[in-house]
Order: sequence, then structure tokens, then C-alpha cells
Amino acid sequence: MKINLGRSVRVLISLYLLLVLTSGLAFLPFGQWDWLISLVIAFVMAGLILLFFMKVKYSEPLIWLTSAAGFTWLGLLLLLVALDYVSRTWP
Amino acid sequence: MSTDPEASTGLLNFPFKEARHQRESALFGMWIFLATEVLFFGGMFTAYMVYRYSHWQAFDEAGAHQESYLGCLNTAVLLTSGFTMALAVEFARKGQREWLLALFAITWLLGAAFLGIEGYEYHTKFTEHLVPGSSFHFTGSDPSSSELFFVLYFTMTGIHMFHMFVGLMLILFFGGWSWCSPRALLTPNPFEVLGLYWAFVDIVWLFLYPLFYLVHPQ
Repeated sequence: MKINLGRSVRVLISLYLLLVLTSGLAFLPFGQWDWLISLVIAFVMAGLILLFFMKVKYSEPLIWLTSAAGFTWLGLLLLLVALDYVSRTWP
Repeated sequence: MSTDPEASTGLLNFPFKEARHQRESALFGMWIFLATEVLFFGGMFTAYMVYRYSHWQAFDEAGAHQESYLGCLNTAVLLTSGFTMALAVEFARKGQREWLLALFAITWLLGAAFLGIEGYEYHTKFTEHLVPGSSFHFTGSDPSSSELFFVLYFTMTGIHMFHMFVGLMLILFFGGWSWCSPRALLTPNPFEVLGLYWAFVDIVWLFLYPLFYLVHPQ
């Protein structure tokens, strides 16, 4: 297998651009939606690293499943805890 | 009779009969470990989410004290190190020791730079009395809730820095091994596993950056 330097460089440049984007957007007045925008960008950056630097894109289905499993369980944990907090009326 | 190159060099460990099977098992095992790491950090991210939601204003005020440019610089340093580590693993797979060692050296220096910048930040937190504890001093609407922000900041970045430190030690170990022994590169599995670990530590930081540095940048 040939070393694909061009692809890695493109991924790195995309990551830099996303970093500039998220850092810049944080200074704009989106009010309460700042956190959501920066987290969405963080997920995109994490996805690029997972797919290309960790080579999940070129891995067997077993690796796809295993890499998704941890994040899925974490997503469930965050979702259910968040649901509790936003739906409960505290005294 | 096996024609597997790893079998002929005696690098196949029991119970593996094929290099491919051994490689898949090594990567699968590492991914299982990383899934447990996701949940380990996940508990802290959950704590952050709960306190951020409950003390929105106090977290905004605390976040305004963070040096976001240092966080941005550290993210760039870490992304670059992720790139050089990914390339190092590629060269390990090709058996090109010189390139592997050069890229390991760059990755190590970037990782050390990250720890240096983070150390400088910790130092400024100490001088500004923003370290939780008896000397904590903060003027805001709800100082004790703002203190929670810094508790989470020091805990989460501290545990992340510990992971970085372990990564640096592993790079030294694997770099030294491939420097000393020409047999080290006969199988790239340990290098691929190290590459996965380093990339994962990168990913954790990608979430710490917006949560601690982009809360309310000034």
C-alpha cells in the first residue's frame, strides 16, 4: 500500500480551517447557541481524525462497530442525563 | 506450511496462525480499550454538562478568564502531532525506520510543546488565584459555582495531560526499540496501536477546547 501523503495533508489543512472557524465563530454573538456550533465543529474534526488518521474508513466492519460502540453509549448517557435535567422542574 | 512473512520471522504469537488475524486482534483490542476510555472521559463530560446547565452565568464568567489563544495554539500543535503520528504509522507499516524515527521525534516535540503551553497556563492560574481551594479568589455573581468550572478544568485537562505524558513515554519506548533493534519493524502492530492511542488523545482535546476555552472568550 502506497503512503498517501496528499490525503493526510488535505485532512490536516481541513482540521486547521475548522479550528480557525470554531475559534472565530466563538467571538460572534450567537448567544446561547455558541456551545452547539462549537461542539458540532468538534464532532466534524473528531470524525476526520477517526476516519483518516485512525483509518476507520479503511477498516473492517468489526472496527467500525467497536469504534462506534463507545461513542454510542456515551451519547445515550449524555442524552438521558440531559433529558432529566431539561424536563424536571426543580424546587 | 505457512508462507506468512511474520510466521517465518517468528513474530506470530500464540494462538495466531496468520499475520492478518494477529493484526486485526491487536487493533480490535485497542479499540475496545479506547471505548472504555470514551466512557471514562464521558463521566467527566457528563458532570460538565450538568454543572454547565445548572450554573450557566457563573460558567460564562469563569470562561472569560481563559486564555483562548493559548487553547487555540495548543489545538493546532496537537492536530499537527496527530498528522505526524499518522504518517509515522504509515512508515512503520512500510518498514522505513529513518522516516518513522524522524516523525516520532517531531511528534514527541509537539507533544512536549503542548505540555509546556499547558504548564504555562496552569502557572498563570496559580498566580491569578484561580486554582480551586483555600486560595481561590474570584469576583463574579457566584464565585463558588465559577470555582466548579475550574475544578472541571483542572481535572479534565489534568487527566488529558496525564494521557499525553503516557503517550510521550510510549513514543520514547517504541522509538528507542526501533532505533536499537532492526526486528522492531518486522511487525507494525505495536506502532499502529500507539497511533490509535495518540489520535484518541487528540480527539479528547478537540472537545475540551470548546468546553473550556470557547465558553465566553474575550
